[in-house]
Amino acid sequence: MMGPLVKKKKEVWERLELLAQGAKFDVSCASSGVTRNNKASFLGNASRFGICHTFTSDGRCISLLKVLLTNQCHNDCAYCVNKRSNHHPRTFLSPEELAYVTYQFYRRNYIEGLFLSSGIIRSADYTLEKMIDTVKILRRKYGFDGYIHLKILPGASEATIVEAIRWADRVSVNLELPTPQSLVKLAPEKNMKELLSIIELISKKIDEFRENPSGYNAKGGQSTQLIVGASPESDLIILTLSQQLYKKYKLKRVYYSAYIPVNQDSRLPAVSTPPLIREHRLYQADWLIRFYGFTVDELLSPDSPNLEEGYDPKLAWALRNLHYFPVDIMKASYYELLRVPGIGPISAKRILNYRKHTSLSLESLKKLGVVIKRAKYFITINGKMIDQKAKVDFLQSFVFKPQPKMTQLELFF
Amino acid sequence: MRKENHSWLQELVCRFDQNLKKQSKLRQDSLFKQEISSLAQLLANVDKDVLKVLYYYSLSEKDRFFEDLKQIVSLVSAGKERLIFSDPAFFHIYKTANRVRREIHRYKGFLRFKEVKGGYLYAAFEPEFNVIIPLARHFANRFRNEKIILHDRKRGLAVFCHKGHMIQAEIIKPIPQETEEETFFSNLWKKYFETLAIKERENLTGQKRNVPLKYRKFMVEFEP
Repeated sequence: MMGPLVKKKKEVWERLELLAQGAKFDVSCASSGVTRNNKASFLGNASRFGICHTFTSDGRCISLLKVLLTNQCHNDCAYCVNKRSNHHPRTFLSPEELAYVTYQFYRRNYIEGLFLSSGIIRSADYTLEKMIDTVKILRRKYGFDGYIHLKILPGASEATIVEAIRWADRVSVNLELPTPQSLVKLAPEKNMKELLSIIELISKKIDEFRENPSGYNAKGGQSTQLIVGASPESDLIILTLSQQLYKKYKLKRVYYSAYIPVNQDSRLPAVSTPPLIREHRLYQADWLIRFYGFTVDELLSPDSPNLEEGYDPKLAWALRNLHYFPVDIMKASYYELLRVPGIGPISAKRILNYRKHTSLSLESLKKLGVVIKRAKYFITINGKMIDQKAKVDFLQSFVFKPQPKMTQLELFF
Repeated sequence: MRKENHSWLQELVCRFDQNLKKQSKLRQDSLFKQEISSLAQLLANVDKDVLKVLYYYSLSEKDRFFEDLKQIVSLVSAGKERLIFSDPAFFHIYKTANRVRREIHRYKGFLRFKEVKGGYLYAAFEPEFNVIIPLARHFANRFRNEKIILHDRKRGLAVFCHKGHMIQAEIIKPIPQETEEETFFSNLWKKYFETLAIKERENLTGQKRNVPLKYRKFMVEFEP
């Protein structure tokens, strides 16, 4: 087995390089959500919190071997590096080769598992089957019990999608664009209705298999990705969609990917730098929706449909809703505490725990993990404000400071 | 008590025992007369989270470990365990324990194994804290069928793991040479690592924050 791959050394390098190039814009990297201890004589386990194995020079973590089965594709999506009309070398790694490289990387502790995606050759069904073959070789031949994330290809049959779920720890379908109109424009072969119906199918199947002891059953759930800045939608539209995905289809994560121009395409906006701050603010708002009990309507409205770039969405909400404050640390409920800038789920839980037994002071709040620098303007302790003057100064600095405006992109309308 | 605590508890008691012997030699008269068995009993009743913190703290090899453990045990036996997280004495223990925990977590990702002749996977590292045992436990479980060697070069400690067993080892001969496949796959990994970076998003500060320089010495992808 060893022989052929090492002999083709140079060639394997080149192919892996091309296939990694094609996969790197998918931002999902999580290896979390599944706990699995090693059964006898297997290779690998999974850790609920995920493990990062290294970080590239763009500061992103590498947890999984993120790679394509092939970078050939019969779709022509404007934003995608692998689109049909691009003229760059096309190649593939066979399921056997891919499984072997994954196995060798894993046992050197380079990676936590495999993230396998692909361009579409012949048909979506055929390609997805090849991807599943890779997983089967890994699981059976190498006894690999580590983390595997499979990309589901739109257009694959229900039976093949179910098979993918049975063998993977997490699956994902990328929506990429938040409205049907943008999809039609930029990804003519895809359509929103179909993508959402696949997401629905996956969510149903994952539920169905939950108690099934055989198979891997995508216990890590499903995720998706949205590109930010390639189409004109506001944050309101994007986050409304995310909220729906979390609620209705129980997605584990929605990833936001700042649009980076990789193609010359008249359908796309001209941008010089990717909107990284906007991406960051979207993630913050996403967290508020998932863990803090916020709804999109509270963060954004049709009158101001975009998140401020100058400060985080929770602070922005607090400044718009000063009537809500101050919140008293000794009396407020969990969700009331969570609304205070500088208090998160961990510190809120600790506060609830500690105030049962003892009175809290500014000092002890600090030890419980509260960011006093922020929180002090919004809280009282047993009815006492911490620093009245500072509060006034702080709020005025926001009220009178000109609000930083979102940089509007040069859009194609 | 949950089963998973068991191995920590043993280690913790063992450390305590060693420390007690060391201390009693130094300070015969002010001897701390806690029987080891009753300590084990006391610790068995300690809240799981607190026990975890104490365990990680013991790995920090701080000089004050013995005194601190005494103090916490007395707090617990006085029934003040619930408030322990806001206790000032416990606070610095907690902070140090967190640093140990972070180092363990990072090494779970950053430790690199090399395949050497004779069929071994060898990993060298120089951790700030004495974290080789919890790491060996992780990798012994993960690479059950491999013969792996972890080598803490700073402390001269080594652990050999195979089939889920962990055995304390001593490195007495030079480490064998890398295999041919090792050269191939480590180069493939380096190449992959470079390819994956998106140059439009370059962020070296973020990279340095996430992989501090001290870890890079033993990571192939950061070799010059």
